[in-house]
Amino acid sequence: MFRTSIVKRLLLAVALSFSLHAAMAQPAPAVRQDAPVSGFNPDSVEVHQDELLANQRLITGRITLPDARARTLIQPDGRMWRDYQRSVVPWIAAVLVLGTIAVLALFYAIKGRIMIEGGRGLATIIRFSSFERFMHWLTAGSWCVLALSGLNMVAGRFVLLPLLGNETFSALSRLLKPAHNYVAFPFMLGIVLMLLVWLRANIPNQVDLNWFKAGGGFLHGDHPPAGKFNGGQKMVFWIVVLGGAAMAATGLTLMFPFVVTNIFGMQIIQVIHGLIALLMIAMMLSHIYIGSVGMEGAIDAMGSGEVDLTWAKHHHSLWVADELAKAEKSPPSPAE
Amino acid sequence: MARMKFLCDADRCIECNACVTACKNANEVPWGINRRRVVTINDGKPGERSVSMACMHCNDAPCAAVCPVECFYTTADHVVLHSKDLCIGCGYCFYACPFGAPQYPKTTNFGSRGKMDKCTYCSGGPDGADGSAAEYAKYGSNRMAEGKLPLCAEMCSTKSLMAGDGEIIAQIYRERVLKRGYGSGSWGWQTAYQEAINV
Amino acid sequence: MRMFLAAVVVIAGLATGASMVLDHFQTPSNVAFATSGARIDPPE
Repeated sequence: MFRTSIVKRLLLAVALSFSLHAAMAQPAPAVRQDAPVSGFNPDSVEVHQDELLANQRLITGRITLPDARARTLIQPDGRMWRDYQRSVVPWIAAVLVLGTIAVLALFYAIKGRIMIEGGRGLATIIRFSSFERFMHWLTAGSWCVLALSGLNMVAGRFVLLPLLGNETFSALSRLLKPAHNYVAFPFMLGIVLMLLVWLRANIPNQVDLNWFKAGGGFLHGDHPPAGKFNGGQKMVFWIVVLGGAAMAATGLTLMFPFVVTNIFGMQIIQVIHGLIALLMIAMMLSHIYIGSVGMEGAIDAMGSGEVDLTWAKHHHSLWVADELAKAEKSPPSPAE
Repeated sequence: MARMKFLCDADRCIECNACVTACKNANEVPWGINRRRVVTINDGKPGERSVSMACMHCNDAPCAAVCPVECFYTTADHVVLHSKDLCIGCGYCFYACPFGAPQYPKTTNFGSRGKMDKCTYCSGGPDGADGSAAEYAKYGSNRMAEGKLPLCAEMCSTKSLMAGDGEIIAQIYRERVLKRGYGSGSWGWQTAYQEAINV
Repeated sequence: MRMFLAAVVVIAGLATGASMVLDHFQTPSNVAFATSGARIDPPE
């Protein structure tokens, strides 16, 4: 009897001093003063999920598994990322993709195809070499695969799944998803080539400022002077090169999950990857429109590489002048 | 109809990992895939708590919401399952899951991460959910079809991990906290089920 | 047109090449998280 009460008193003393020490060492969690049934309070420092989450974005601890990611007990940000994916992204996609298509359709309905003033002439001029055209199609072809497979991840379940059914849609997505990863590499090569070959011709200058001020000729039907690439094309170039580089960086990070950053970082990178993608899609739809349906004579530039001279004089007057001056200085050698 | 949940009483968990071992054994889970894990918070410091964590089978499951191919479904017991046939291994469900439940056979994400695997509440998978050998090979055990609860909770050495109808295990936890006078709360319940057990 | 077709061929070729190279870097989970204490059975 006597021994038990000493042991009991000792334990109580230890518990009280322990809780005092704990109260001094850990200011945040509460210290319980009321003694539970056993007399010894193992819960002298309360640890609650809410308290931990008040100070940090996720709760981590120690784990015996070799996978360090498993240390994270709860990351409530996942629900925020889910809300963004389900509620925000479909709207952004609808506005940027469907909205752009609608605007372009409206533009075509009102303005129609922009024809070559005075009609096609007889003379043509070489605008793009074989290599320039090759690298453009390398980039453009890759981009189309990337854009469509990427859109499938975001919007496929709303647009295609009801049409194809679960099995077929999954089978299709199971092909598109790896295609998205692997076609990224020819795309990256394409934008590097474009940067090397076309950088000098795409440096912005006063001519482009004037071109924009004149509305690119769209507003008044005139033809502001432009070099090899006009202001709008230079904009497309930089969006493709810089946007493409951002997509490559975020995409590569997504392909190697948790190598560079943690779960929160991966979520942010995925958000950025998707946003830039949708903005680029809006821009490229306009580029594709004007380069094909929107303007007579434009497709020749990337098709055969030879464009109508009249068209070139109207839309890239400074470049034509330069090319003609070059030709005059070094006349072509007579054919053998 | 019972609404199945998990509850880990962090004040009882002794980090023995019996739940992890039971799950791996019963479901033949390959090495590298961790359907269930035990995380110790404040290890070695006052306020050390261990929590056994696996899929919580949430209300309005975030994994199901973000899946690009909609391969998830919810059973009548509100167990959240998915079809490995439809899964494309994109990894989205891992980003959305607050509890890190989805596991993948491949570490990198080019091509695919492989078919996602996670705790099934020992309910197997689709394709009949009949407890057949084919189902076992793909999804693991189907104890629920035999009227049994998940093996992790059954094997818990201290009965800290409880599985069963949410009302019943919440009541058990409530009684425990009242009787012993302390409790660090039902970890994950606010996030998974949007409710906390108030004592 | 020829350049377009050439580009398509190169895209397919580079993508296939990338998949073959990257597969070298792909680690299955049971290998990536292997420790000296763990005996790894090949996955079925």
